[in-house]
Amino acid sequence: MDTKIEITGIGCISPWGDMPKTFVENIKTGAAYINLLKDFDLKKYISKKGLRTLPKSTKMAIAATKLAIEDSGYSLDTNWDEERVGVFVGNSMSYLNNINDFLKSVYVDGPESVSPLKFPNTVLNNISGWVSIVFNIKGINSTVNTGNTSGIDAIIQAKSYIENGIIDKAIVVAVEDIEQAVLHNEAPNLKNKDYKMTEMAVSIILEKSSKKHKYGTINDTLSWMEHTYKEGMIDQKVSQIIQSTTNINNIIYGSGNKNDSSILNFIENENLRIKVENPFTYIGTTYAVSGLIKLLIGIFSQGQSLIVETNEYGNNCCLLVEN
Amino acid sequence: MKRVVITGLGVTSSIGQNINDFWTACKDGVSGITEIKKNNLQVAGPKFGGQIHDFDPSKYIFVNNVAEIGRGSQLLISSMRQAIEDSKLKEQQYEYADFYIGTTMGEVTVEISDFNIYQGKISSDILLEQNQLKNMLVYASKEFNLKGQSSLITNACAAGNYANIQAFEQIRRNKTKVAIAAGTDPFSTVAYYGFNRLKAISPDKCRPFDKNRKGMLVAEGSACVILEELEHALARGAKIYAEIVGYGVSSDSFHITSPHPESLGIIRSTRNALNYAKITPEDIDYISAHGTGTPANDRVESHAINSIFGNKKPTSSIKSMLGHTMGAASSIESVVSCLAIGENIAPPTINFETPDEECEIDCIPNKAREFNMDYVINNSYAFGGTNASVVFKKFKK
Amino acid sequence: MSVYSQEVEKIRGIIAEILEVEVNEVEMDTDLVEELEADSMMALEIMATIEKELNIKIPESELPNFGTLNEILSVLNSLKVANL
Repeated sequence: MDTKIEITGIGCISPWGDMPKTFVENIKTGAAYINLLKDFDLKKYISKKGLRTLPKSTKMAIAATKLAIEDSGYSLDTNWDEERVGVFVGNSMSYLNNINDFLKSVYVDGPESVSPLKFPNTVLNNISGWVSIVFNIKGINSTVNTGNTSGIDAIIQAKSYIENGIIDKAIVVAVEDIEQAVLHNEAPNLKNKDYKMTEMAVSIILEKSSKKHKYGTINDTLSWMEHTYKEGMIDQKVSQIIQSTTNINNIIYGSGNKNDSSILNFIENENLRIKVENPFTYIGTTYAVSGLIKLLIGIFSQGQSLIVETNEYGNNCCLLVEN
Repeated sequence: MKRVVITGLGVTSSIGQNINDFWTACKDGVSGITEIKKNNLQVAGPKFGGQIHDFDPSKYIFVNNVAEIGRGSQLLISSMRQAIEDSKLKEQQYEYADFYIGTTMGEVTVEISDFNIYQGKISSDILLEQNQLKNMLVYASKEFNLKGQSSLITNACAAGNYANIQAFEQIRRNKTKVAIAAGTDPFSTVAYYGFNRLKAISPDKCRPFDKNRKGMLVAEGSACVILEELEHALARGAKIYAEIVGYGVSSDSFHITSPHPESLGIIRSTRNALNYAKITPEDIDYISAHGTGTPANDRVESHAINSIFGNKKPTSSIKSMLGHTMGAASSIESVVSCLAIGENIAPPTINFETPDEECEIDCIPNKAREFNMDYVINNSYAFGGTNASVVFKKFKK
Repeated sequence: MSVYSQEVEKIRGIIAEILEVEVNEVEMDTDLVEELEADSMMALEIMATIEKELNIKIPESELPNFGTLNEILSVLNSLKVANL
C-alpha cells in the first residue's frame, strides 16, 4: 500500500462553469456533442500581463490552478513555500492545435515572418512552464503525455516526488482544448452522430496526508502497459484490485474504447454491490482530462472509488480515492 | 533503499549509431553537423543542423511495421534495442520493467500532416492517427514486449534526465528491479523555424562557451540507458557502467524561454543533486554541460558553475559536436557520462577558439582529456524553466 | 523621408497592445522596459509585428535599440533611408 496523499484544493474550467460540484452534477444532463467553453476570459481569473498570446489550453490551466489554490486556502504571498511546490501537467492533444497555429502562419507569412511567440506555444511543456511562472512554483515543473491516462500519470508522478521528499505540495493539472487541428484529427469519429467531445481543465492540489484533508485521499495507484489488446485482461486487473481492497463503494470508468464494455460486463457478471459511473457516456472524449474528471466524481461520491482509465494504445491506470 | 546501476547503453546520433562508433567519434571531437536536407523546408535562414542522414530503421525494427511508425519512434527503438542487447537481460527480466521516454517535439509527422492540410491535399487522418505522441510508448512496448509502468515525459530539453530520474526512483524504492529510460527527438522543422525566429540559431557552428558563439543548431537523435537494482545486476554478472547516486530538479519560474539571469534555478538543481548524492562540489570530477551555444545559456550556465564549483572544474558540451538533440540530449549526455567514468576520459567542447570573460570555465577545449573520474554530474535545462541534474558515480561495490 | 504620422500611431497601437497598456501610456520617451515592463519576448513580438505591418525587414542587431518609441522610430527612419 502506498503513502496516502490528500487532495486539499480543486479548481475546474468547464463548459458547465467553474464550480467542481456543479460540474459533476450537471454533466449527466445537458451535454451537447461538442462541449466548448462559453466566454472564457483569463482576465476574469488573473490580471497578470504577458499572457495574452498563450494558447487556450495554457490559459485554461492557469485559470483552473488559480481556483484550486484559492480553494486550498494557500496564498502566494504568505504561506507558499515555493521551492517545495511542484506542478505536473497531463496534456495530450493541444500540441496539434499549437503546431497547426504556428505552421499555418509559416505557410501564409513565410518562415521569416511568423510571430516568434508562436514557437514556445508549440513546445509540449509550455503549460507546466507557464503555470510555474504565474504561480511562483520553483520545486519542479513536469509534463506527461499518455493520451487518456495523462492526468492519472501526472498524479502518479506528483505522488512519487512528494513521497521522495523532493516537494511537499503538488499541483496536478489536466487540460485539453478543442480547436481546428484536434477536430481534424477526430474527423473519422465525428462522422458518428453520437460521438461526443468536451474541452476542460481540472487542477488539484496534493499533499502528504495529515488527516485534515478537505476532499479526500488518494490511497493507491497502479499503472501498466498492454500493447496488444486481449479480451478480458482489464477485468482481471480490476478483479484483483477489488479482491485485495476493502470497502470499494464505486467504480468510475469509461475511456471510449473496447475496455469499457469489458469492464461493464465484468461488473454485471460479478453482481458486485458497487455503484458504477461512466462519465464518457455523458461528455465523451476528454483525452488527458478524463482521469481527473473521474477523480472529481469520486471526490463527490460516498466512500472509496476505484477509478479505471485506459487509452486505446495500451496504457492502463487504476487509482483509489476516498473522501 | 536500493542502489541503482546502469547495465546497458544505446545511442543513435549523427556521429555514430552504436556505442563504439559514437564514443570513438566523441573522444576525437568529430562534428556531426551538416547542411540541412529536408523536403519542403524553406531554408531562408541558417542552413546547418545535426541530421542523421544514413539511418536505416529496418536494422532495428522487427515487430512494428517500419513504414507506419514515425521517425521519433524509429530512433527511439534503435537506441532501446542497442541498450537492451548490451545489457544482456533476458526478456523475462525486462518485460515488466518500468520505462520512461523523454521528448521535446514528439513525432514530427504532424508537420507533414499540416503541410498536406495547407495544400488542400487529401485528409491525412491516418498519418496523424498513427503518429501521435502517445504512440511512441506503444510502438516501443510492442517491439520489446514491455508491460510495466510507463510514461512519455515531455519536459523539452531536460526530458531525458527526467526519464532517468523516474526510473531511478522506482528502483531505489524497490518498485521494480529493472527500468528503461530513453530520450528521442527527430529533426523538427517547427523547432528549426521557431529557434530561427527567436534568433537563437548559429549561422555555422555550435561554439559553446566561445566568445563569438552565435547560437544552437537543431539536431536529432536518441539514447537509452538500462537501470537495474544492484543485487539483481550482480547476481547475473552484468557489466556495470556506473551508479546513479542522486539527482536534483528545480523550476526557474521566470520566463518561458530565457533562463534566470542570475542562474538561480540551475544553481538550485545542481545543489539539490549534490545534496541528494551527499557529496560536495569538490567531489565532482567532470560536468557534462547543457552548453547549447546560445549567448544566454552559456553565460548563465558558466555563472552557475563558477558560483558552485569555481572556474577550474572540467566541463564540456557535446552539443558542440551533435548540435541540440532536444529531448534526446540529456539521454545522450547520460551515455557520455557513463562512458567517461568508465575510461576516465572526458570528451572535448569543439569549435572553441576565443575565451569569453563571461564564461570563465574550463570547457576542455577541442581535445579530449584523461583524468580520474569518480563523480560526474549531467546538467540539463529546458524551455519552461524546468531543470534537472543527475549524478553518476564510478561503481564500487 | 520619415515615418508618417499615421504609421507612428500604428506603431504606438502595436506597442500598447503587446504590452497590454493604454495607447496614451506609450509616449515618445516612455522606457518600454522600465516603465511598461516589456520583456525580451515582447520586444521580439513588437519588432516582428512592426516588420509585418510596415512591410519592412529589421535586422536583429537593432533589437537592443527598441527601448522607447522614439528610438524605434529612429531605427525605422534609418532603414527607410537605407532602402532608398
